Amino acid sequence: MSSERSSLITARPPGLVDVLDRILDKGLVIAGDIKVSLANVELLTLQIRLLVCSIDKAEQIGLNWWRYDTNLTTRAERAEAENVELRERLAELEREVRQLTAPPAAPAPRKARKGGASKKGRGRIG
Amino acid sequence: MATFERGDERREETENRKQMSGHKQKRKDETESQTNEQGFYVYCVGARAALESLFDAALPAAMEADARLELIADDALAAVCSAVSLADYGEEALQARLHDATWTALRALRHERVVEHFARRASVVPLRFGTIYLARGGVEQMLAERRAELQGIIERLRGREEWGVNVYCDRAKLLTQIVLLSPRLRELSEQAARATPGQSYLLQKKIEALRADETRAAARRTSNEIERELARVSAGVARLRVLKDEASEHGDAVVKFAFLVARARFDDFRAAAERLAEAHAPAGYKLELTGPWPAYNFAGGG
Repeated sequence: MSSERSSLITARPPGLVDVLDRILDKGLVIAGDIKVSLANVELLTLQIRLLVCSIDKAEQIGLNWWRYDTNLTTRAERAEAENVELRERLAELEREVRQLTAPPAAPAPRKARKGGASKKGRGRIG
Repeated sequence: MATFERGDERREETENRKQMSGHKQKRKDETESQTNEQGFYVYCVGARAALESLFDAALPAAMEADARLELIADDALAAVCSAVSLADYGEEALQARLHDATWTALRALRHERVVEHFARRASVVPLRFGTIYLARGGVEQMLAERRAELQGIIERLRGREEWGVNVYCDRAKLLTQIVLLSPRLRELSEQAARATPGQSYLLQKKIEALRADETRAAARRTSNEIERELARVSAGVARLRVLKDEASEHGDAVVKFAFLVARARFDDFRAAAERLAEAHAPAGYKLELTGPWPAYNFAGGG
C-alpha cells in the first residue's frame, strides 16, 4: 500500500477538531438577521473538544454517518436513529464536561483528575 | 424590512387561528405560531449557474431533517440555504442551543457536509456557522449588496482548495533528541553524572529548564521551515489556533496550518509535505495532511 511508504498521516476522515475549528471560527462572516454572539466560543470549543474525543471513538465503532454516508434526505431517518444513539452515548460525557467546566476561574479542567474516573474505567477524555 | 413582513404574517396567522379555535386556545396558538416561524440558514455562496446545475443531482441533507436544501438567487449569485425553525434558530433560542456542545457539534458537521459537497463541484464562498436570515428577501438583498466582494472571492478561490497540515511531536523523543543535539546540554548532563547528589539536583533543575527552552526553540524553527517550504507551492497560508495541551494519538500538537493550494499543484504540494515529514521524523515530528477542505480560512474579503 502506498500509504505505508508515505510519511504523512493522511486523516480520512479528518479529526473532528479540525472540522469544528473551521466551521465555528472561520468562513466568511456575514451578519444575517439573527445575531449569534460567539463570545463564548472559547468555552464552547473546549467543551466540544472534550466531546469530540468521544465522537472520534464513536466513529471508530461505526457511528460515522456524518462522514461516509452520502446521506441523501431519504436516509435521514437512519441518521436520526444514530443521532439519538450518539446523543445517549455523549450525555454522560457531557455531564462530566459540565462539572469540569463549572467553576468559572478554575484552572484547565483537564488537570482535574480527581473523581474523573468513569464508571467503565476507561476512555479518559483529554 | 424583512422583520415587518414576518411580523405581519404572524399577526395574520394568529388572527386566523383565534377565529377558528376561539379564545380558550389563544395561549397555545401563540406558542405554536411562534415555533412555526422559519428562518433561512445560509451555507455558502457561489455563481448562480454553477450551483443551479448541481441541484439536478442528489444533495446532502440539510441542517434539520424537515427541510431540504434550496437556492436563493440574485442575478448572478446564489446562496445554498435551508429553512430552519426559529424555535431553535431564533436569536435567544440559538444562543441557548450553542451552549449545548452536542447540538452544536452535530450542526457544525452538517454545515460542513453541505459546504463540502458544493465546494468539490464549484467555486463557493464558505460561510461561518450560524448565518441566518428571517426571509428570502434578506438573502437576496445580501447577495446584491455584496456582489462585487463575493464575486471577487469566488474568482480567487476558483480551482483552489484548502489543505490542512497539522504538526505533532513526540515530546519525550524531542527532549531526548535535544540533549544529543545541544553541546551545552550534553556538557551539563556529564557534569551532573559526576556531581555530588546535592549539586546533581541543582544541575538537573537547570538541565530541565534549558531543555524545555531549546525544545520550544527547535519546534518553532521546524514550524517556520514547514510554513516557508509549503507556502512556496501554495497560494496562501494561515495558522490555526492550537490549544495549550492539545494532544492526539499522534502526539502533542505543535502547530496547525491551512494552505490554499491550486488543484493543479497539489502533487507538488503533497511531495513537499512528504519530504518535510521524512526530514523531521527522526526528531520526533509527525505531519498530518487533511483535506481537501472548502476554503474556510481563505474566505475573507481581504
